[in-house]
Amino acid sequence: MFSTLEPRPFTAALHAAVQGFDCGSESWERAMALWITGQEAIDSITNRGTQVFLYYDGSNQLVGFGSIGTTHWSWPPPNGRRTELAIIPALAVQKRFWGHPKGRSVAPSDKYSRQILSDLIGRAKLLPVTALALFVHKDNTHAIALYREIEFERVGELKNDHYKMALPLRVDTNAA
Amino acid sequence: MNPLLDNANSPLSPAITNSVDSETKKCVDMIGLSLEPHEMSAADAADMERILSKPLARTTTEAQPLP
Repeated sequence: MFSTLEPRPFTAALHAAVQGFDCGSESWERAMALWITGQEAIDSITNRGTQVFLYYDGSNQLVGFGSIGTTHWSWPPPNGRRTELAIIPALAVQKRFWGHPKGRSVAPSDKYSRQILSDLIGRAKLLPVTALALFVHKDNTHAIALYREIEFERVGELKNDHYKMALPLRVDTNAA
Repeated sequence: MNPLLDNANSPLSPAITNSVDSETKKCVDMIGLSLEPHEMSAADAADMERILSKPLARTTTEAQPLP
């Protein structure tokens, strides 16, 4: 039996709940832990209107967190049309929950990582945007595979060791 | 004990910042940069036009916020 995760909006009042968050030791994993345990997530909520959610399982264990914000990408260059996009700035599952729930009867869509992503995509669809984007470290192969499975696609070339990826959310009637 | 707990209302303390290797710091910076407005290159633009012209994925159409 698997748990449907429960999202709870992250606020400064929940800061203590995320201390000790462990999503691995690679640089991009440590960065995610620092973002949620330090001041960056709270600052992003306060200054940029980013929505951040903590996800709990049925035993009230903190499984992971996800976030969603908006930004503008402009194209074609130079001085192209500004298009508002949803973006996932940060997303992580605690290491002890990687691959959970386990079991042959668990559908891929019920894995915690997929539940969190599906929740964020669902929230992005409520925004007046045509696409959802994210940046992922070039060596984060598990995440890249997961995003591809959901049909995110790479946008352009590698920059600062990160790929941009995007997923259409609705038909863009203004597309060239 | 997580040392950040002692400094929960401040940005990453200098001690913590200094203990973060440059690769991790770059990744933290990328999280913030991802929210910045972005002018795309010609290659980026071509990819975006292609992606936006595709039919929606089933996972996208079915995705809903968790209750």
